[in-house]
Amino acid sequence: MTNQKAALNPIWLTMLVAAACLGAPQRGFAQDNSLFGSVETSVTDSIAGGNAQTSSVAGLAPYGQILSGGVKAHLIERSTFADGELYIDDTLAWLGGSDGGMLSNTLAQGYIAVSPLPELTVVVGKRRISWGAGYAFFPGDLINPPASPDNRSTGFSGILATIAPSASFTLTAAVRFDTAFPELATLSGFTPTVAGIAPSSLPFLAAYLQSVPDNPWLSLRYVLYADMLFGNLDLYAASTYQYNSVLRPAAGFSIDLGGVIANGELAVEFSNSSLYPAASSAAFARPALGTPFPIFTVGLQRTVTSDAGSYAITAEYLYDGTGYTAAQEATVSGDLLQAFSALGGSASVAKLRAEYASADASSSAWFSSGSVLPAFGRHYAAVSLSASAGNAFEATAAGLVNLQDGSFAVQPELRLRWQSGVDLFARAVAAWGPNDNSEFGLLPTPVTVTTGAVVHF
Amino acid sequence: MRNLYPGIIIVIVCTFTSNLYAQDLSAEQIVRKAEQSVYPDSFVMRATIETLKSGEVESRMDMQIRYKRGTGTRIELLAPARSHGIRFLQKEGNLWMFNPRAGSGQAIRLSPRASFQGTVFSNRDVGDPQYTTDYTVQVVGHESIDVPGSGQVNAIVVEGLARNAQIAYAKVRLWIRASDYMILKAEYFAKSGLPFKTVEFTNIRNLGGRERPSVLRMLSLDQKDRVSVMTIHDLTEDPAMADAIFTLSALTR
Repeated sequence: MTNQKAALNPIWLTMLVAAACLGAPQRGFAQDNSLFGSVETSVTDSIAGGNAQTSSVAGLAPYGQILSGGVKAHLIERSTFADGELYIDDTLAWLGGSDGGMLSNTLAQGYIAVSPLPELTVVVGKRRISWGAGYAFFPGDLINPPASPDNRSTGFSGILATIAPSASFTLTAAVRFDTAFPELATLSGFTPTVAGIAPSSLPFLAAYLQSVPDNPWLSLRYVLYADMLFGNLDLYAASTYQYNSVLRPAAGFSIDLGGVIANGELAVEFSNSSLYPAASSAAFARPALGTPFPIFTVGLQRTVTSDAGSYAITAEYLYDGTGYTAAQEATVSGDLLQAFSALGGSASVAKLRAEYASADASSSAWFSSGSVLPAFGRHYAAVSLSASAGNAFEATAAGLVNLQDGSFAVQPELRLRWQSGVDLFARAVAAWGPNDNSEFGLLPTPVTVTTGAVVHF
Repeated sequence: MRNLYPGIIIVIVCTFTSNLYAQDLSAEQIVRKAEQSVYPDSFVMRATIETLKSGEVESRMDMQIRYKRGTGTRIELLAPARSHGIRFLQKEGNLWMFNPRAGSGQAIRLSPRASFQGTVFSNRDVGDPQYTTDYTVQVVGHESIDVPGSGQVNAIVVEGLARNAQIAYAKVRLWIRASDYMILKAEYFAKSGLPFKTVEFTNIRNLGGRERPSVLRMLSLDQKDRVSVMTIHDLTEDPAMADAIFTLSALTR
């Protein structure tokens, strides 16, 4: 879960009010104005594991004590009008813990779509482009906010136009505004998470290295995305561009091979100022502007639904060529240390340099005053398993492995469809690895278990 | 006895002429007419699928279905509450699902041959009810079959073989009313050649401007105590439906 404090931006507030003014939502077969969603209440507990440093840094309670509890309402409102549609996907949450409660609002999507022609749709607001065919990895996707396997629902703020001359070909052009005007993004601080575990960060370093140019209009981000269907082969091609920051063309496919869906995507990063996934606090690398850095993913997915139940298996591999090579690290680290020193961290520079010098090039962990720069890998694997029995029971497990250093995070979940519209669930989250420091934070993390109930409406 | 002669003659003449008429049409044309007796080429309909096990309701789903021949099918679930908003897009034998409630902002690609949400219907049965595009058909005979509410009905029997391995069933056998090409019953076969499912088209009423079956009753021959029943509540022909509705971009809106 990635709830964050977020002021209700006036733009989104206006859209929410507009949605409310469209009238009372109707249920059943009515589609002109539809409101649906869920209310979830849960408690999270730490049951085992974790090292002392983790508990200290994260401020976790002793094992066996409730860490947090809360309630959240997920609302989806869709209203259609002549040649258009208003869509809002919003989550309002209250999360209580040992240090008090926090109310947060997350607008995943909120936009107005207008179709002046049957083949043309123009969208203004916060919208997500459904990118490619992958499950966990989207190497070319730098237009949607950073992805993670457990939450990819958030859109970007901007404007996009989609032309569909036929049902088998669509071309989308989009401009993302919140890269230039962060106040547009209620989730501007969103960080990549894996199974709910966010990597540590060095905010001051990120601010220095991801500074916005004086003219914010130069920070607009553009994307062209084309999707074509040839028989059972779905092809897509895209390119993302932002002045002095991003140039990443990409192409991908998915194909149905007798019930097994194979997918792949290749992107090439020319600017190298964004790691995968984007906007990580560690996205400081730019050692070789103009040098092509490949990023690719391949995956297989099999979903079978039968009379008795269903199961699904998904496996994906990612090679991330962005960031540093070992040789580049040696070159860039000097600049990095200078930057750190210039920011007033001279007292810690010696420690940082010493840690860097002793670290392994591929899995180095850099310490500064209490913060950890995560060691990103170049080889990843994501696996997801799910099974359901009848209409009553569902079990899922998702995992992400950094093949570089062997660290991994897992999130199993059991869900019981208890009553009509009411689910009970139990979900665990944990990460382990051979090294103390990883992109999942300090390892091992405590095993946390969240139990709760969801009422759908 | 003498009063029965005109009736018998009429039945014989009608049967003879309808068979003659049927013989004028190719098997593909007959099946095409049968398809149109169920659905027009472009429509929006609202339906419910209820699955019963041993006579007890196991699940119930309300949905809206948009279909355009040669373009695609889009299904949106309206009930139960936990499934409200889930959408399916099927075109050219490909299937995608999008769940706006999930953390995934992605449409997930699925196999169209699998069961539709645990019902006896396959995804293809619900999403793309076109036999002529999926099967190579031929007339194999005529039968008199018992149709509830209509008694004995003279039917043309057509068999179809799947054009490729992506099709849900290896073979289908259709019973089509000879008088007006209304489809009455279909039997679906697995790759092994064994009968797999049967579907009966009943409760004929006015839908979309003509008489059509409004209830499709699908029985699993594997699990004889399970049956899924699709009831069509309303159907509107919409020839002007935009192709853009059947895109992945529109699916995730």
